[in-house]
Amino acid sequence: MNETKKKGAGMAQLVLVLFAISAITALLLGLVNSLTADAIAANQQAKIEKAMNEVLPASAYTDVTASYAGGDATVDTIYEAEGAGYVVQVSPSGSFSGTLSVMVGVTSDGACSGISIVKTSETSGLGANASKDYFREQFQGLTGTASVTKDGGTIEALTGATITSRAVCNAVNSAVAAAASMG
Amino acid sequence: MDIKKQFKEGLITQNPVTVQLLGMCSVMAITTTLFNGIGMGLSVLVILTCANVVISLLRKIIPSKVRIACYIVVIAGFVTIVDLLLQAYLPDLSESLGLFIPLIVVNCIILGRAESFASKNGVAASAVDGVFQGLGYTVILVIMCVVREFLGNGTFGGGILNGGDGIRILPEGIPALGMVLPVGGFLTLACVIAAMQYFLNKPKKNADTKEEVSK
Repeated sequence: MNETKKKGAGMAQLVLVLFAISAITALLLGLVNSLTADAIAANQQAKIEKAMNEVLPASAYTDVTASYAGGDATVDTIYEAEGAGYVVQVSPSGSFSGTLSVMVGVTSDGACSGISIVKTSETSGLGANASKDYFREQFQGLTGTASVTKDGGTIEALTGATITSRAVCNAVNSAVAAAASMG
Repeated sequence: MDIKKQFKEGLITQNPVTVQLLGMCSVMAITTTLFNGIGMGLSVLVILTCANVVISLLRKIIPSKVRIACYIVVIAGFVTIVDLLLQAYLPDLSESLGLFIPLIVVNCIILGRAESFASKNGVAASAVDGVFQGLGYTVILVIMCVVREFLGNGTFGGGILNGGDGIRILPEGIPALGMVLPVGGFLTLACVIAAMQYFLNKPKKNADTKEEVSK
């Protein structure tokens, strides 16, 4: 009799302690989250705006993704850059690892004005070099279809990262097509 | 509490990375630039110290049957807090460490110290243990970062110095890119562990060799 009672108390204690610890932790996390949420959102916004300004400077950007009817699933977001053209965020297919997210500026006459890598999990030292200036500069002012030299194009692929380079080319092509479909 | 002994254990004789061989995943993955190494090392140090203190405080309340679950909840709580703070105030670091901050939850160093030290010792001793074990981890990370960055990229201080590019020591084209890839992590870590073992065993080396010869 006594023993079963002890066991019962032990079980209740296990549950209670674990519950209390989890509850306190959850409470603390909620607190920290509410303190940092604004700063994190601001950081992300600042990063996107910086990337947009880099690829196609304009005074204001408006999100016009809703009116896109091109049906290209790799196109994530389209911003209309005031009087300059479009900035298109693309997650191209065929990246080497994880999701690659590229911001592409397209001028009103359909040329690529620059690219910026927003998110990458490509191999560091190889594919991750796609965010280096010497690679990105190749896309500035590019007209027509982007492809790497190996495929008969003009883009010098990154050393040891042809797959990543091709993915970036795909992103640029998708972006240009999307911008063209927006008129 | 013997601070001197704990210091020596954390950094040398019981170094979490080279002697206990814990937390190897992050050691291999993020030691490519000095900035990453210091950031990751300090994050682990902070989390380890906080988790040690809390677990030591709760060691008499936590029933042994659910202790691992309790430890993991405490550790995961601190890791998430650090992750959120980094995202909010050090976005660059948070981005370059990426997934490896949340993965500290399952880093064996922290659970290992909770189980083998904090759950058996007082709060102050556990805090000291957290700091020194964290330092031991950080020191090894920094050594690996410096070696791998130098041999793989030819730079020093990547992510911090010279606007984030690091100071170039070797001209481009000479560095062996493999050193910043996983294979370089294995090679560097093996060399660091071998060197550490060599120096740890040096004093009694003569006796050992004699024994081996006689065998």
